[in-house]
Amino acid sequence: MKIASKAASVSFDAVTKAFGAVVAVDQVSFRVEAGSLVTLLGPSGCGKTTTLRMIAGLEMASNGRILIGDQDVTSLPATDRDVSMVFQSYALFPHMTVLENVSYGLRVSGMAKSEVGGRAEDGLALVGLKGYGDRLPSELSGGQQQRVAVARALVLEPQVLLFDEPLSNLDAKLRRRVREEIREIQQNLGLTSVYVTHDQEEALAVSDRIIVMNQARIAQEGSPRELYDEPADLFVADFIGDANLVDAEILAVDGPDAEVTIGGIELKLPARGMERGPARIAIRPQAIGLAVQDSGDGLRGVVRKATYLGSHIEYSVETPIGELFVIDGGVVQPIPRESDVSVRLSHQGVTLIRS
Amino acid sequence: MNRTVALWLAVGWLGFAILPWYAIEDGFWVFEWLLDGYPLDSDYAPGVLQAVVDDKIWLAPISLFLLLPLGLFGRARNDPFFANLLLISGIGGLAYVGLQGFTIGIDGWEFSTLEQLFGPLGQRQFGLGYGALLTSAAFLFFLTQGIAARGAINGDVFVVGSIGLVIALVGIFILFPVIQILLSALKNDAGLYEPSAFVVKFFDKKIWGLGCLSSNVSCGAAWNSLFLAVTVGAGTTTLGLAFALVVTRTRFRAKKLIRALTVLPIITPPFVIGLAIILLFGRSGSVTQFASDLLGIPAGRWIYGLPGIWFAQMLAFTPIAFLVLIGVVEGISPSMEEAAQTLRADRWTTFATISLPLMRPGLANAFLLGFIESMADFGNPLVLGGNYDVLSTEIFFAIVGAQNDQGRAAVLALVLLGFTLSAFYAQRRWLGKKSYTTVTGKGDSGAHPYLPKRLTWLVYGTAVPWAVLTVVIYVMIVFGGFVETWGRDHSLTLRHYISAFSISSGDGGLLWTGSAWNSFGTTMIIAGVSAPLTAAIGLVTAYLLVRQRFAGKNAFEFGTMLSFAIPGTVIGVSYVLAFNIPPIELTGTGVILVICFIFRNMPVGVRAGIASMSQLDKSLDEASLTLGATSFMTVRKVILPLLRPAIVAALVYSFVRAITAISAVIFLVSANYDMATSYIIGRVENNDYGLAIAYSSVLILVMLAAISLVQLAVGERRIKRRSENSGVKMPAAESKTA
Ligand SMILES: Nc1ncnc2c1ncn2[C@@H]1O[C@H](COP(=O)(O)OP(=O)(O)O)[C@@H](O)[C@H]1O
Ligand SMILES: [Mg+2]
Repeated sequence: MKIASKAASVSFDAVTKAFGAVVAVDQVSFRVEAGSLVTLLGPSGCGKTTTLRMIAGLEMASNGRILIGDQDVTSLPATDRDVSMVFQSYALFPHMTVLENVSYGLRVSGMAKSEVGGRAEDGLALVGLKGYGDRLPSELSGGQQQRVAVARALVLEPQVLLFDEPLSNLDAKLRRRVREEIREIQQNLGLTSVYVTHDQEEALAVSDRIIVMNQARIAQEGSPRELYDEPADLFVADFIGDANLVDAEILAVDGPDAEVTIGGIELKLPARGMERGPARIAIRPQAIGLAVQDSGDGLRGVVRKATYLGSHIEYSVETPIGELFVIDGGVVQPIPRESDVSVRLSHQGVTLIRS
Repeated sequence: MNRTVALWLAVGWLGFAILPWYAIEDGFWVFEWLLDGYPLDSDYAPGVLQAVVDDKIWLAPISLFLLLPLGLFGRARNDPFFANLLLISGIGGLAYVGLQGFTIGIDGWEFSTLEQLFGPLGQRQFGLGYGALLTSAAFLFFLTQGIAARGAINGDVFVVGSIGLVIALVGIFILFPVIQILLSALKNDAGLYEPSAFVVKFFDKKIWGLGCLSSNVSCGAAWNSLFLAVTVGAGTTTLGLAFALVVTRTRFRAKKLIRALTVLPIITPPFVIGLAIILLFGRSGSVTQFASDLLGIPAGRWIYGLPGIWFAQMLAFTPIAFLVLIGVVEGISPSMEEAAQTLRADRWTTFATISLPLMRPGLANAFLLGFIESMADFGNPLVLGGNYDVLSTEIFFAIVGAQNDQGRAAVLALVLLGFTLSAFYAQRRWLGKKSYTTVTGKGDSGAHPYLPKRLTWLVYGTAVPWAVLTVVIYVMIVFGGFVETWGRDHSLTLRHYISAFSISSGDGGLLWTGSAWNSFGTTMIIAGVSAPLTAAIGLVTAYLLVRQRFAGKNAFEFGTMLSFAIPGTVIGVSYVLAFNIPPIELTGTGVILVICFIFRNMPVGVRAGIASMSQLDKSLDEASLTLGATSFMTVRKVILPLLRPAIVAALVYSFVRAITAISAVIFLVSANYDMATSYIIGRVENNDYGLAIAYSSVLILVMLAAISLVQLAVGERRIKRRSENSGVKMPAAESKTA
């Protein structure tokens, strides 16, 4: 026996969910292609979990349509949907052994007893827990419990596999490893997965596509690269990978390029369809270079804070265009506080944003 | 058509076409009828035959409602027709069964207008039986499946069915009887509706009279009850607080002993305390004789009346106040008190400005519970009341006394119900919103500060003598069973035990010759049958309340907790009024006792269930649902196994309460089904104290044994479970703080 996948796509069509007066999800539409991993990313309370639970059938949409594959599941309860979920708390049944936990879904859906054991063992093997079947969940470490939860969801060969912040109870090292394992299994089996997290680094690492949510709505949807390089708005720019947001003015637009001035310096940036007039730009902290030597004109500033973080140093630099947050890889020769520095902007990592 | 509908359709037809439609006189568990003329005998015939052969033509339309669901063949569940047909069949069937039940009784038409309209009826009918029960259940579940099919609660048949079942049961066995009281209160002595009769009975001097204030006559029962309840509430709260402070905030050594003492009243039938008080302070009581011999104080009957009842209730209900207050006092986060101390408050100021105000909701809660318990108490006033009339006993005498005045009993019951419901309402309204505890769940460290010195002595001075008195009382209870005649002849004897529990071997093996065996056996069986049912309905209700969201949930919760506020005497009277005549004829059976216990003790099961279910992470249920289990399977395989300790607690508690209960029971016992407590009260009324005390001690021992056995079993399991849980629970807890 082998765990296979019956991956299906997921579509939301103008879905709204209200709890009384609170609108948790507001007119959200998206599509998750079969076999891809899509992340719902956003700050706490923005409606990610609610969206995920509507896919699972644990909450019912107040409005709109939800499709899995070609089937309209909007009013189908969780039991009748072919969707599995890995919970934030794992939700392993404490009174059942690991093997009983993993085979639970198979048993209740009426699979023949002879088949159940083998399939559950396969599931455990897939997550690297062969031989742990007789233990109780409490006799496993956090990472192992997490993998049991994944195995329990996988063995049902669901059309869609859901993860709600699956790594938030693990320590930093383990988090990196487990997320790679999850991604590997997902790709090997070709599973459709929806993954919720509030950690942008995690989202960038595991996703085919990312849906950024803010205040119950979708702020932007795209590949990790698109989101990082071309954030649609201030919120996304700031939420993904930090950004210095600076007022600017577009002087002229020439085809795909725009001439922009920030505090006296002029830059050429991709116009992204914007017109002449005031705008903002997002500058990634890594896109700023600092130099102590006097290099003539250009932007100048004073280092107000310097924090040594091992692999890099974070600076806070006061400049005429505002306080800039800078990440600098040059740890060998740190710049002392209160130094006068010249500030250079690289072309990568500076983006015009509609304000 | 799906399997659930088909199943209930089969059940419905089983009830209508095969099982006897009417109640069998011999009893619910007696099956002699199978050989005694069934199915054609009109006593035992099923509904179909009653309609066809016995001219009870009005039963025929029921078959119509049972045929309707057949129209569902080949229909899908999300077809609107499916839901509507089930709704019509369910509502129509239930309404029709109810309508014919209430309009046609033992004497034909129940209402004279109907008789004029349709002419006199040749046939009559008796209480509904197995058949009617199953058929009605089928209609109920058609109705709930119809509602589910319309999309309520995500179309979950099990949950909607459970809600429907609980509502139906609470409606029939709590609301319906209470409504019957209301109706009876409006009837005159001839049984006709006459509101002025109510006014006359309500404003009776014996209820509201204030003669005791000015002259030497006694006041009305309502004022007496109110005064008693207020003083008992205040007294038990004060004492309970003293005990709670001793246990949590002093260096007192025997804290374990105090906690152990609090278990005793739970397993003591309340009037037993009253008995012990008679043994101490009655005319031939030990203390009385001691005082008259040594000090020359003449023996009097002063204990009968307010002092005696007050004293007995204080002893009986202080532990309840203690149990409420210990939770509150322990629940105050030590860091609050420590914070106050770091802000330069001394111990006294800390107690007065921080600890005491934080306890205020707990104090109010303890007071209200004491108030309700005192109002509802029946045994102690019966044993010790003297001329001090209180509502609960007056109700009893109105029914069993020479007057047999049901209207008066109903009016008195309404007054009593008014008091307890107001207290209950105040408790829920006013305290429900306030947070009792300040436990943060964030690993509060630190210890409660000790009380200031003077307060410590005050608290010791109150609590310790009281604890000693409690011990003395229980010693008396044990001892009292072994002496010849209390107060006169103190020679030791086993006479009372022998006369109650003797066994002799005769021709046919063992003979249970003791006079108590009959009631003892009945008590054990009834308590044993009702306990699992109570636990089941309590836990199902708790599941619905904790885990499901549905419209009208607040009203639902209020309804299920309501019976807590209905005094036993009121339940007793209302059951007599409601279930003495068709369509539901239960008086004189064992079933009515079982039902009475189920609904009296249901709130206990509900609360035990709520408490432990709220500790189970909801994602466990959801995980099970997303893995394809139905909510029924989830309850069976995930929730129930994890709730085992709560189940056991509910079982034990309802078992014990069924054994100790007296107030409702005394209305419902019959020659065939006598209960231990009512038998004991009977002995007391014959001044046979020895046997009464002996029997009570045996009951206490039996319950003690039951509790310890169970605690042993559950205790072990719990330790095991804790280690099982720890790894799983912790992440959940962390994620909440994260
Ligand atoms: N069962 C519920 N009842 C009421 N409000 C809820 C419920 N579940 C979520 N919400 C509200 O909906 C919003 C979104 O919640 P959620 O989806 O859990 O956010 P996220 O997972 O992104 O942190 C929040 O404001 C939350 O308070
Ligand atoms: Mg969330």
